[in-house]
Amino acid sequence: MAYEAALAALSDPTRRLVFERILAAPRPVTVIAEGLPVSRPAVSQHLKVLKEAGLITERRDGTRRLYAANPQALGELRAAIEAMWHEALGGMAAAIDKEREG
Amino acid sequence: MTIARFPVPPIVKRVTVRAAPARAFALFAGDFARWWPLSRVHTGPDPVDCAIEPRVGGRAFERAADGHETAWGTVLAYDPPHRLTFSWIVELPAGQEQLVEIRFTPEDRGTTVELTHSGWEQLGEAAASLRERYDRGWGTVFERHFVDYANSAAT
Repeated sequence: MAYEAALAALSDPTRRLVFERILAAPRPVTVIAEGLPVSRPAVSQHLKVLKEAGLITERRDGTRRLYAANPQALGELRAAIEAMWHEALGGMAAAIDKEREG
Repeated sequence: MTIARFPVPPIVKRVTVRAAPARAFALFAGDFARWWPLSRVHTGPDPVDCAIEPRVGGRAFERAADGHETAWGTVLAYDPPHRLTFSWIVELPAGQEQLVEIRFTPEDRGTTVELTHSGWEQLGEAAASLRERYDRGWGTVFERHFVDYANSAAT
């Protein structure tokens, strides 16, 4: 399941920080790594994991590479979470609905 | 996460009961536990009581056998014999509470009681089937249980 890979990728706090830095706009690794308490190769490694999980895309911009969030993957993640939430809503909503049978 | 907001119509249920507005209001709010089918319709385990506290800022809640209380919402308007409004937070994420409002309008031979359950837009896509379930649910709990109770208590 795609959302499981996405959740696993985002379970690492540093990787989540890396991901959050490219949500608003595509950025090169040098900008992403600025101020982070990890080395640039480590950031590249996080980007690789995020890319494999489908959460980000990579494209060439001249000599550098730009990393951007993949809205489609986030949409799938949201749908999966909403489905879980929905299932957990069982209690009152299910009971009040079922009441018409009584 | 931001979810686009678009208007979703509230659930509106309208019934007429054979009681004057003040009596209908008292039967709805004061006797809440006597007509609400708590043994079947509740949110926590082992419910033994439920109530709507008769003041603004009061709670609508259920109480379990072990004394634990689970809030259903907070009374926002307590205005007998006209209007009772409370938030509805049952199983909803913080900040996405809904609104349930009951209005009492005098009729020749009783009272029209109108229940409005609103606030579906902030729930996003999940609202559709949740709304369907509450729509059917209020159809039974309000339109049948409350009306039966009010009419039998009034006559």
